[in-house]
Amino acid sequence: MILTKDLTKIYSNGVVALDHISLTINKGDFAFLVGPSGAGKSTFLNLIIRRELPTSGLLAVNQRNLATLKQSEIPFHRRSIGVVFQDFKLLPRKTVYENVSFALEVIETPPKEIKDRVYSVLELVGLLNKAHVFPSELSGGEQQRVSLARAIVNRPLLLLADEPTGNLDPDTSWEIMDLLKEINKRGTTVVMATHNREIVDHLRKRVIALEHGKLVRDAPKGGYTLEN
Amino acid sequence: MKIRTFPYFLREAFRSLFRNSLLSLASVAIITIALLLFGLFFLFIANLQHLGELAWEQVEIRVFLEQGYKNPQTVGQQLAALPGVKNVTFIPKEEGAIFLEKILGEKNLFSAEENPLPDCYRLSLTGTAEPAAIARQAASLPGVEEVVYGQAFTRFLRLVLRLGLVVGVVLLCLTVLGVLYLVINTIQLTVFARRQEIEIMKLVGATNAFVRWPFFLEGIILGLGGAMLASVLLTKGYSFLLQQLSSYSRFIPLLSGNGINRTLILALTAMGLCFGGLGSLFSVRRYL
Ligand SMILES: Nc1ncnc2c1ncn2[C@@H]1O[C@H](COP(=O)(O)OP(=O)(O)OP(=O)(O)O)[C@@H](O)[C@H]1O
Ligand SMILES: [Mg+2]
Repeated sequence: MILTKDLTKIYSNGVVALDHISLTINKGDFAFLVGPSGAGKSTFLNLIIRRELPTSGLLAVNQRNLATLKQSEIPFHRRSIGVVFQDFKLLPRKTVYENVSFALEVIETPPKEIKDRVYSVLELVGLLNKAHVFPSELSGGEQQRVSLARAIVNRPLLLLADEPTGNLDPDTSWEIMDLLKEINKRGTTVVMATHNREIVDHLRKRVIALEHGKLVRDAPKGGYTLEN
Repeated sequence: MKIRTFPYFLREAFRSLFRNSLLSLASVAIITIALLLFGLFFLFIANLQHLGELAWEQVEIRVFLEQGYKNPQTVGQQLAALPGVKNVTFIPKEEGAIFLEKILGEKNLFSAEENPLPDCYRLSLTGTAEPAAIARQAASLPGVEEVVYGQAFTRFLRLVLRLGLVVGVVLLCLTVLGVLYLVINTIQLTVFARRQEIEIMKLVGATNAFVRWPFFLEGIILGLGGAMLASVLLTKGYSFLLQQLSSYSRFIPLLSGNGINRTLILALTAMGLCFGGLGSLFSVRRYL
């Protein structure tokens, strides 16, 4: 699903955000991406959706080398990936329903299909009763779930979540985690960047740890830190 | 891009227009003002050209024949065949004598046998003719003694017309650029207001064309709105002006009627559409 070899990203200001990362994430995997702030987690996710270009090294997603991906192919590459952004990225002037249906409309899903799919995904995240409410009227956890609904409504092969439990209380965090596990169970590969020690330690999934852009640990059933 | 997505684009365009109604109204107003300016110069140039052609038609060339030349008709036919010649009138020397007598106020100036005046042709020209060239060609015809026309007047007229045309076209071009600049700047505001939406669209896999379409339609609608307003204002204003000037119309023969209105509306609509569409495409570009 994701294959990197000596993947390096140096921003134009000289910051080395990723430094010779080599790893493989297989189809159906569930992987936590951990590390201190500035370790390069978001950079890694941004490279995968081709918001950024690798400086050197190989990055292949779905057997496609992202370094040689044409501009015109980028939208189609992104359609196979769902992303939950740390800052939600919801449109304030669209309702919950519209925020989710938007993701289907822009990829030209037949209108007849859109309604069913949006309602079923809203049901999955437990927001059916808030479908016609604007994001500003939702709690942080609810907005997070709208963001998740939008990410999965297109049934992506790969789901990237950048701190989807940031700023959430423990209960809501666990609700989100249950959803991610459920989505993973249905066959979607999940990569989640997080600072949430409790969740990582409890779920015992694969842990990929970064520090200053370097891969410092890749454990199959790891904890948040090595001591665990 | 699929055809069935088109209603979506239209819906999005109208939604955005109404959601940012204040900005939309401001855009239409600015486009209207810019197009009004354009239309004014357009009318100015069209009328200048019209007046120029009218004045040109006043230019006359007189072709005097050699004394006693035998075939004045042949010369007449050759003159009529010259390009740019509208009318050829023969003035036999007898008529010339009557004319001279009238001016001098004397009767029986010459007897029929000893009339020393030459036969003469009077040529009137079309609006686009070149008097100097026609005069030269006429002078080289056999049997022609002398060719006379208002050289100073035609030179002056040509200078004034050329100057007016150059000034008008330069101003017109400047307004065209000005309109484009204004339209781009105005539409950029609406695009800026939606940059977050563009970013998210792109992140969930929208193609650039998909992002552009609603903005393109929005620009076209704004441009069309401005063009319609400007057309109404200008044609009404212009016919009001004509009406006010109607008592002087013999002295100021401005263009009138449906022809100029139609041309004007067509030009304004084309400008509005092009600039609205192009302006929005240009504005979206930096966010793609
Ligand atoms: N667009 C950018 N231009 C320049 N430098 C950047 C850019 N984005 C990130 N960086 C730098 O790259 C490094 C890694 O940033 P990144 O956002 O990937 O870290 P992170 O692991 O996601 O951190 P956090 O846990 O705080 O989200 C940081 O030093 C950051 O300042
Ligand atoms: Mg980050």
